[in-house]
Amino acid sequence: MPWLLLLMAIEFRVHELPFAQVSGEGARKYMPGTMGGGLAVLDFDGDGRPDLFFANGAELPSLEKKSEKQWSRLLRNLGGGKFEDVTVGSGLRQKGYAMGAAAGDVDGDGKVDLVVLGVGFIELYRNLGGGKFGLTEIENGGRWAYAAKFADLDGDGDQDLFVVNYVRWSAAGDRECVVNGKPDYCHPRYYKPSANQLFENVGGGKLKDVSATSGIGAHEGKGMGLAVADLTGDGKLDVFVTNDREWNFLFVNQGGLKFVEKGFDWGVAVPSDGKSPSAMGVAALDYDRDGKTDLVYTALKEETFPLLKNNGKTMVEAGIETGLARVTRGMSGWGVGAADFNGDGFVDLIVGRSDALSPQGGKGAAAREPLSVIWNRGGKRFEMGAELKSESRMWRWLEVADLSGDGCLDAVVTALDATAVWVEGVCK
Amino acid sequence: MQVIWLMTLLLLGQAEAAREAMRLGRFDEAARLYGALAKQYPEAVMLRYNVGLALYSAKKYGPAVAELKVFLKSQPDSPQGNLIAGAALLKLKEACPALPYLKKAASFSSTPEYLEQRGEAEAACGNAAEAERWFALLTGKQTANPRGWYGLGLAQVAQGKEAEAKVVFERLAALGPTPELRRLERDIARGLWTAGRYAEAREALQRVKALGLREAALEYELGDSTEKLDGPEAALPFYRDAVKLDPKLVSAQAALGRALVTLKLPQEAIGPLEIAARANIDKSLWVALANAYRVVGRDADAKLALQKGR
Repeated sequence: MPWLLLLMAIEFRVHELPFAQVSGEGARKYMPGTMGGGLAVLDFDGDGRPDLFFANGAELPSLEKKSEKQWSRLLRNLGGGKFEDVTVGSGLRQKGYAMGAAAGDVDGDGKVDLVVLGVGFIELYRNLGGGKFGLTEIENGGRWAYAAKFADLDGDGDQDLFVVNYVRWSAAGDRECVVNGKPDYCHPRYYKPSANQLFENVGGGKLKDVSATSGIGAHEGKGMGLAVADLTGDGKLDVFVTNDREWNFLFVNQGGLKFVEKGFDWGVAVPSDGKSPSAMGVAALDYDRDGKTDLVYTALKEETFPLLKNNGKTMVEAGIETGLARVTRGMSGWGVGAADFNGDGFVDLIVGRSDALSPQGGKGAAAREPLSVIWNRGGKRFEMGAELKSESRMWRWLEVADLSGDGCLDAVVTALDATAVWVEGVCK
Repeated sequence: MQVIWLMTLLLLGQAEAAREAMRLGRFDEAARLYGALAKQYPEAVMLRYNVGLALYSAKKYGPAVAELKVFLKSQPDSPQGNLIAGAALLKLKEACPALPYLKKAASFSSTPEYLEQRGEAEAACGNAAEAERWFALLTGKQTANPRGWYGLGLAQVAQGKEAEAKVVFERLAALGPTPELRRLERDIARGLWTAGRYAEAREALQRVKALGLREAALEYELGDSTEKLDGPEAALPFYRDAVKLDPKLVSAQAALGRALVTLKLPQEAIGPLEIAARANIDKSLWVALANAYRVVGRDADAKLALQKGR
């Protein structure tokens, strides 16, 4: 729905959803325990209402699902704020520690398919109709698949798949760390980076790994998020990948599924002060409406959320002059959604906040933070919104969609070891 | 017979000269004179003690310890020798090696000096409970001794006895603006900063500054706390002051350079970033420098800096 037609929404209501993520966190803090909470919004039944898929955790360190509470869930949107759990019988396999998900029509049959990502696996679920999915496993070399997007990267009319992988991790290689005298999750520097993967849609619902030939596989990082957009202005979709305390990647599309990494040249690899933040969720947006796609990504407290303004030849930091740096200095953010929530024509931000450390660890309850909406005032200034009030939780990933179908945008947000919520944008 | 008599006279004369030098506070001269005597009469081990004492008094703590160790080989239980050796080691910041010597000098435990040295050695060696005991004895004996209250309070903090320490620090504060009070405030401020409690740290650092302390590290910590809370623009004056006070403080040069480049002042950032990057404390400084070079059009320099930064 075009943004111009949206009504003004300046109030938010937070509703609990029938899904609670299970992180598997115990006394020993195994790294996957703080990373979960991925989700996908997909209208799998084609009724026009966005449905929801939530990736769920498992036991740690075994990565096995041992109870129904650890199942990933598919929720059918019945409208009116009601969601039906249709997981059983859908064909979704409940195996392993699921981290993320992406939705797209792989086989071009008009039905939205689903990819589930996890520690050591990628599962492609082709939508068979009638609420049933058929599983195809995608070989990923046992990598920790974390985030993904479907996009037509070679311009041939079908959906290719870009998968962002996090660090190289194994239970045996997991590090024990202590923060302020308490066991806690380790800094990513203790783990080696991993290369991302690109899968070409070769038709018939098949995806072919072209990581090596495309140039994507030559770059190892600690990927957490991705944005797919034409950042260089040549009409081809580029891929920006956030890396956790490592240089971000900008894979510039050369055509023919060939990419060249140009993060530093474009000013997006690392902030100008040289310090790599804990770059996490990312959104592509045109915040100043100059026709060029900008980027914003989340990071931890004191790092601020970098806002990168696209000037056509490079991208420059705009956090200080727009006030976003000031607003986000005290925030730790994971998922970020960029959308015009109040219908003023400028893209606002909604953020799922919390620390990467455990609330049982060195930072205690301060690891939990609330959800936030950040208003974009005329493309020049960002300011904190008071309209979104939520509990402090270990909020993780989010997606923006109009779940209620009222023309006002909503958001779905997950949280570690807590129920996910639907943040309803209330039209006024 | 006449020769022996003459030699005795000479010895007495030299010893008298050494004693006189000690009395007049000419400790280097005393150490030299006693040293010469000790060479002539190696069997007179007390002379080695005197050399050690003179060197200690001349603040030559390392050589003093060496002399005293020789002396203590023959008289290991000498309270005097152990006391000076322990005190000298403490001055050399070797608190744990000082402790056995100080323990052997416990007969001096009625003196405030001993109590203070013992407390400091125990504290520096991580024995907080023992440090508390000795500083408590000291403050019991000298209620207006700021070093005693300072040491006692810190020893209590180290044991998590924060309520008791608060009372002790109030006693210290009641003594007026002593160097120990300023030192305490500085310790607290740095502790808060190190712990990442930036709002409290900034307040504490400002308090220390108001007590008259002018120190580059303090300005840097103020800048860093301010940057964490309010961003680089607000931190700039502190960073500038820090590098003015001590241009060799690399952390401050790095912070100043990073702040300037973030604030889009690349030309000004280049100087401090070059100093900081060349100190090789953090590779990412080369990246910041590369960014600054790139923005001002020094592409070749940017390329080189980037190579060093990756």
